[in-house]
Amino acid sequence: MVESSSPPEPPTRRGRETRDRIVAAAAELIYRRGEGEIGIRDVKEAAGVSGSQMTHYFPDRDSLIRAVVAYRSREVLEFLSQPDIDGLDSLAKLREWGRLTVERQRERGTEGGCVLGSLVAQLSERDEVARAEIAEGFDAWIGGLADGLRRIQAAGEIGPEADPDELATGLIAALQGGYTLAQASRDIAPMETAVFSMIDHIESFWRGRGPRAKKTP
Amino acid sequence: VTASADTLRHMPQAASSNSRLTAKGRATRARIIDAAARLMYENGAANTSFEDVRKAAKASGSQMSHYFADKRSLIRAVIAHQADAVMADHHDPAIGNLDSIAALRTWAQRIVEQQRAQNFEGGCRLGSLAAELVESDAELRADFAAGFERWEALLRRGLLAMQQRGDLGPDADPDALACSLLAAAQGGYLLTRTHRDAHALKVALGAAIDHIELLTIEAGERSIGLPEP
Repeated sequence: MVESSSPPEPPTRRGRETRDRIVAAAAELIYRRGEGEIGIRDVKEAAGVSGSQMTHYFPDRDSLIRAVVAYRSREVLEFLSQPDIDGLDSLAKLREWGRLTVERQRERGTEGGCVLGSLVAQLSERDEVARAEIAEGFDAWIGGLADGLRRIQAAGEIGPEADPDELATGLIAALQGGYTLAQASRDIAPMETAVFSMIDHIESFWRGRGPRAKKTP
Repeated sequence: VTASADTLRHMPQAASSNSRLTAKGRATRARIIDAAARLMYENGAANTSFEDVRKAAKASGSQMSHYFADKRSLIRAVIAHQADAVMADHHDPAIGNLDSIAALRTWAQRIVEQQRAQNFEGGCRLGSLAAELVESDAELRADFAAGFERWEALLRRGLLAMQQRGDLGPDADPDALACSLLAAAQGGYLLTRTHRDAHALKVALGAAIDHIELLTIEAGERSIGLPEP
């Protein structure tokens, strides 16, 4: 789990709820309109909080942006542990994760990209702390998938020569590239193709029948 | 400083709008686009003003408005220009027609080296601009889609050649594989830009090419069919 460097958790439940409402509103506005287009006032109005509440929880814009990065990082991890995929310990569950991920994007009409990935273009070249936190978010996400692949490996569905960390990285990259191509073409097909072609590749390690590719230098 | 700046100069122009210009006019227009492409790549389109571009291109206000009605028309020219630049990057004897596993591996290596040369900042010059602007309007979105499609077509051509030659099995789907390769590159660029290191880009492209390699048929297997795995 990625912890943000924003102020500590509010002590009361009500405080946490207010804080979470602000972060969720900011995340949504940034996703829909872009970070550059959003003022603190927009967030305040969307979250229905007062100016003093805003400054109490987020003394400056940076602390809010960092909380949004942490929120999106948690969101992609939570998607990975939803009931239908929980435990991610079989190739069938991995396919189900791919299907649900693609399905959600189809429902959005391929508008907007990945909730975490879309922050990269907006923040990575001008907010070094945010960039590093997005990178941590991706690490946790890839790590979560890699843990799943290790369980799939332990269950014997894929062979010991498969490298879970590399395959998980490849899968998240395929997904990110898929989002980009689906957004540009307004067609879900490239995302579906990219994700499932990588899952097919993972399946090619089925019970130790590893790819020949691994043997070449 | 980015790697794009000097390769950009040699790019073929998007053919349409400047065919009626004089040589000098074309040069001025190209200089403006070149400056705009560089600034937008380094700072983002949102942080690049018409005036920034004018200064960087050492153009006059009337030259700017003569060639580009507004920032948006300049952005469209930059998208076409970056797509041309991506295509030109593939005119490299070392990667030939991208029609072998070895050529694909070299292609991947070139992409990683290019990112390393710019300290893993900025990402793909077409993809990063797309990430920023693809949702702004339908026309720009279509410009990006056309750019990606040219890139994918180039990858597809190499894979089709491999299949026609019998290197790739008849079950392989060059359309899907080309799409997956391009997605791996785009996702790899994004992760590498985020992490500021080569790892994800290398691994993503490697896995996509491994997958294609699995579908290849070695010379010895061709006459006798695929052996049992």
